[in-house]
Amino acid sequence: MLFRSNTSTQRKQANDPRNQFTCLRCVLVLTLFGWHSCTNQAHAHKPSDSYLKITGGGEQLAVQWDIALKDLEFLIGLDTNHDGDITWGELKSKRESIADYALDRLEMSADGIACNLRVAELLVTQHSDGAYAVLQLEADGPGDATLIEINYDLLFELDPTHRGLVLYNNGSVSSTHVLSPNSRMLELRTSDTSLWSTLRDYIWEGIWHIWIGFDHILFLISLLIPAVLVRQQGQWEPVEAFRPASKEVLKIVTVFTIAHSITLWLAVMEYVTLPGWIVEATIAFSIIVTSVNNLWPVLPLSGWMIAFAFGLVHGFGFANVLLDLGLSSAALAVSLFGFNVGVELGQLAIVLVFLPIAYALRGTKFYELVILKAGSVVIAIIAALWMIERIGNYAILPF
Amino acid sequence: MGFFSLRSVSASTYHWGNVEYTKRPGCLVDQFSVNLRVHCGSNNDPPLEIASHCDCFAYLLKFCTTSVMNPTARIPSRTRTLPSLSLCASLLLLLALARCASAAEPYLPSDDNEVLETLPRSLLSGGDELTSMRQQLADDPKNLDLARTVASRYLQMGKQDGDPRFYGYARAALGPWWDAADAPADILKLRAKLKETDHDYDEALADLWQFVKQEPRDAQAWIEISNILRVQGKYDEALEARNKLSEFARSVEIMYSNVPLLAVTGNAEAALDLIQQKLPEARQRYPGTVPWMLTMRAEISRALGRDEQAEESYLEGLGDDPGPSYLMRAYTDFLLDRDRANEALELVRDHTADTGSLLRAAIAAKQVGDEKLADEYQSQLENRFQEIRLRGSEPHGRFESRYALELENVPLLALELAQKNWQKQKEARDTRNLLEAAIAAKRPDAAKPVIEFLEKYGTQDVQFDKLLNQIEGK
Repeated sequence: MLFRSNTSTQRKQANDPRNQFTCLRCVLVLTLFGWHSCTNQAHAHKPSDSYLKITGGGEQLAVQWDIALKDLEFLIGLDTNHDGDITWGELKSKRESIADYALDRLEMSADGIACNLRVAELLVTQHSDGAYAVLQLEADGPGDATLIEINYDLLFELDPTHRGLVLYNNGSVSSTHVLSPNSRMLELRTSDTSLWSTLRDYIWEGIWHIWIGFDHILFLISLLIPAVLVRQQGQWEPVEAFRPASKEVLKIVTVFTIAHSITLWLAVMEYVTLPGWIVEATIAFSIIVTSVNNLWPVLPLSGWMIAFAFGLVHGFGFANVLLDLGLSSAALAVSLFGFNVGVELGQLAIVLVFLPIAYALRGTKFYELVILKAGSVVIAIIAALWMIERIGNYAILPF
Repeated sequence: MGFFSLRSVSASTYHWGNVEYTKRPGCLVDQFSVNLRVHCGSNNDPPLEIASHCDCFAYLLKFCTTSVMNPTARIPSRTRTLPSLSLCASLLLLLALARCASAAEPYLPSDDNEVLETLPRSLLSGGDELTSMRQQLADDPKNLDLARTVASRYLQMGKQDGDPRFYGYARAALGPWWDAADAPADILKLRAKLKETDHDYDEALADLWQFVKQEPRDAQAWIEISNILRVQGKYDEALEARNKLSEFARSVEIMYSNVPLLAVTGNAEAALDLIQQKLPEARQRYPGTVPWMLTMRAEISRALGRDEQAEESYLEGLGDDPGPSYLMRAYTDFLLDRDRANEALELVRDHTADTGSLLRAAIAAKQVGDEKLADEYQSQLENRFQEIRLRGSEPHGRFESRYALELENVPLLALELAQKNWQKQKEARDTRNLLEAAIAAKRPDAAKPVIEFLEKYGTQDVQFDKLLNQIEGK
């Protein structure tokens, strides 16, 4: 709860020789409180920024650079008659010095070729903290440049809180970037690379979804448990070699992938939509069925057929995740593909961990009793609880 | 026009409505129109309508700036994995808040005499001398005396004009020592002030603690320490600092630390007495301290429910030609709370360069029913917030939360912002913002830590009592 110190009082006091000592102390304390008042005052304005608007899409790159008059006053001195007001006449008369000073501190290149920058017009605009000089620049770079490099060095030496704000727009892609004393260079990649980063991001999302999606992991594991065994005369027997086991696994995973890719695509394109809870509950049901089938193989279906049938359901589950992430038609194919690749990579990771262990243990009692039997029971119970949760909208399990 | 959906942040907790994406000419960045619905709890509960079709700015979402700007908008996985879904909620609610910054179109002035900008007076007097000192410093950046002089001069100018640019220049002068752990004592003190102006309280305190180790009898530093701690709500530690100060300082210095602390720790009467006792002497001998004392007297009287005495102090403190100040903002709130919006508007309408005054002007105009003026102020405020965000900073939470509550009417967001701000600072206005937002958002649970805090220190404030009664349903 403080105030802004009254400076005229300070000055009056300081001029009064009778009170020199007391005054000094007061000024000290007052100064302090004036400073401290900033915590209450918050910023009346913001610190210094310049706005570098780059517009692509046309024949040539168009660049507009807004620099605060207060900054130019500090850098060059605009108020030639020292009356405290900066007029248009004063600004106009400094056009050459402003252009020289500013362009000395900005380098731009388009697709690796340095742009020749020239001030075509000097205008004025307002930002939230006051008036700005607008330098309309002619840059001889092509409007469809895919890589724009910027090297910016305005004011940083004099004001480390200054920021250069780059606003790029080419009609379909726009982005903003902040240049600071610690990052004065910018490599601005326009549209093409955004597809790459979209792809990369969605691959990562796919992997991540498998990693946090316990239901998919459990489904996959309950499908994989019997893959290192063969059913002979009502008994599970270990497979003899690694090759047939891995072949079986490959078949299961591939079929699962094909199935869920089909429904993922159908759902994302909105050809088929199913209510979320039905999909989620059916996914839980699919886990129950596969794990029970491991205990009592009653289904007249082999592993890959189950994988296909239920893969269709899991695809709808993936689709809900993908829709929640947000999609646009522009990058739909890329994100769909990326997400799918990510899901496969996630599955592959599980297989790579699971298969060698399962293969090594396949002949043991431990594998038959603990992993196959007890494991399947546990998985079935968890899945059953999921199913109840998802139908009834309760929360039972912590995951 | 693009389209994307941000339908759910987490499968069962928050579901979002559709977000429509459009580009409009004249905007700095693309604009979004949003229709947000939040489902809290089970899927079957009716959605809570948060905002419908309000225009907004993409870059608000600091975390997902580039991805939201691209049509392939998505929330980064990082935020989804955070346990705090409320963070996600606030992120998207922020989206709902923003509007298009109407960055004016560049124009060609027709008259050479058109005044484009008025420079701060402080630059005129002594500006040249400072410039030459700065140039000297550029040649000899490690000249301690020169750096100290230049930095403190710019600090003072920043304080007088409220333009943070000057703090930037001060910081540049301290450049060689800015990150140095073993900076000289004088530099530490200046550095602390700069960090404090940036609301970087912990860092500022670290510098001050280091400073008082070297200069244990520096009253200014101890006052500063106790004040920062008080602003942070660490009253026990602030009282300790005050005790340290009392060991050696003069009574007028101790008063600076003591009065505001007594006021918030259940001894408001004693604080008032102390001011009354010191005021006659101050009027005579240190007239410069009087406005501060009047401010304190006004605020403490208000908190104790003595409106008449409070108003008297507000008016005396403001004097004949008030500039924007803490006192002015406090008095404006006083008027707004008493349905005197007309007077409030008169008080602040010429000082809207100050963001706190602009905020109150917008609220007052809205209360008066002058929608056109309210809209104008509101868009100016939005513009300021957006340009601050664009540079990667955050607007002051105290202003932003109040803006969300009283102007945008988005209580959930206001609550998020108020809570975040309250983690940083706990002055009366911060506390009040949180309580009011908790009431409006129907989230009394959110007020619990605040209530505990107020009870612990026995803070007296009739305004809080009113709000607490509302929360407890009395």
